[in-house]
Amino acid sequence: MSDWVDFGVYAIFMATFWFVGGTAFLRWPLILLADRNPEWLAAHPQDARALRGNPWHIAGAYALGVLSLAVLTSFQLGFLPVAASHDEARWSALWGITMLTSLVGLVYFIAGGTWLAARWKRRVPPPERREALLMRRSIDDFIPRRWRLAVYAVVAAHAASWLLVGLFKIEATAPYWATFFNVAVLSATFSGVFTFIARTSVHRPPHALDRVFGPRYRRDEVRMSFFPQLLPPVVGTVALYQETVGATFIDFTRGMYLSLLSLTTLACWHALARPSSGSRPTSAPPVAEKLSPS
Amino acid sequence: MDIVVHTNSPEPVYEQIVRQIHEGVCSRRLEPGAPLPPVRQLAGDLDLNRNTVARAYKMLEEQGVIQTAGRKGTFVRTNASAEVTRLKSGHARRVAQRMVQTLLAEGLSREEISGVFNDALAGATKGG
Repeated sequence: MSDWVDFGVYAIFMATFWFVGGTAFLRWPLILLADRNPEWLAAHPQDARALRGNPWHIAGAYALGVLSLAVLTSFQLGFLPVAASHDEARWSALWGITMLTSLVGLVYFIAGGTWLAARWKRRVPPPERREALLMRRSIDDFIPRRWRLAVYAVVAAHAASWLLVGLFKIEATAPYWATFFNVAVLSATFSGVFTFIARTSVHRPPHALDRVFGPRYRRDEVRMSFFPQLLPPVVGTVALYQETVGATFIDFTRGMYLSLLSLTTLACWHALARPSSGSRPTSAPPVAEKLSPS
Repeated sequence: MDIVVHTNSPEPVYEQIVRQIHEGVCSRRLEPGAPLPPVRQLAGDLDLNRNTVARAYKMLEEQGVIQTAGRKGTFVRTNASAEVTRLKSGHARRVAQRMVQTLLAEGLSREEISGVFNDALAGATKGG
């Protein structure tokens, strides 16, 4: 498989990450602020403008996005001195660059969000009227039990099939067991991490986005947090097929990287498309609309 | 069923929770056996201290309105409606007794007090 496929997937992910992140910082603060305390926002429109966020932070996100893409493109075109070791595959170096710049972005966005949240906490009092649904939330409300069991069954069946193929000496070479170990560890990690994230999404307190998008927001969040654990079985099945027929279309780790980032990009686009696809944030208080930059 | 609390109300927040659960039970919006959110969830959703919600739940448990079944969670008791009615009657009786004692101390006769109560009741019924 050409490195250009990796480059394309990573470049789209990077652009999405930086520009969607930057746009979110431009678009959401007023809605979140209005959700925190609409009465305060209506009474203090000037303060609200000041608390909307730093435009330099948004410009910085776009600039860093352009820089990250430039680094990735330069590496792909061979303009950048090879930072990776000669043994390292090109796709692996592309992944490394993507992860490094994403890590910088994550820190950048978290720092910006924390700064904004701290300012709001200091300046905007919590609302005096608070409302909640007197209903116990459970993961069953968002993902039926049989679906979850089916996912766990697929994960278990996938690991078992690798084990069986190895034990019955169909493919019992040392690299086979190394790949199996890789597959097993990744499957277990994905299952544990994504089940934990899905449960956290179920139990977290509601926030502005729940109120803006309605109950479907949490449902989508929980599902998008739970189902990525199917990635290792899907990619692992292709890898197992390769092992048994002796062909190599794609490396397991490479496939995992590509599918994970493709899925993340799709989730970002899905989240970005929602407000403009019929479910525009109508519940955003009018004052937020009035103060909106656009 | 939605629960609404006002942090600036003179009624303590835990009492607001208790009162609304009583109302929910009486109006059958909370059916017997209905699960209630865990303390942590409700406190998070209402942005309150956990102790506030825990205090409300403890009070409701002591009143026999809800029961906690370990890890299974907290549920509305099967006889919760009767308990709430009994609590309300008891509360009304105590309030009426206090008022009667005050009026007796002020020198009103039994007939006069009865008349005052009847008039007040008639006025309230007319007023809707």
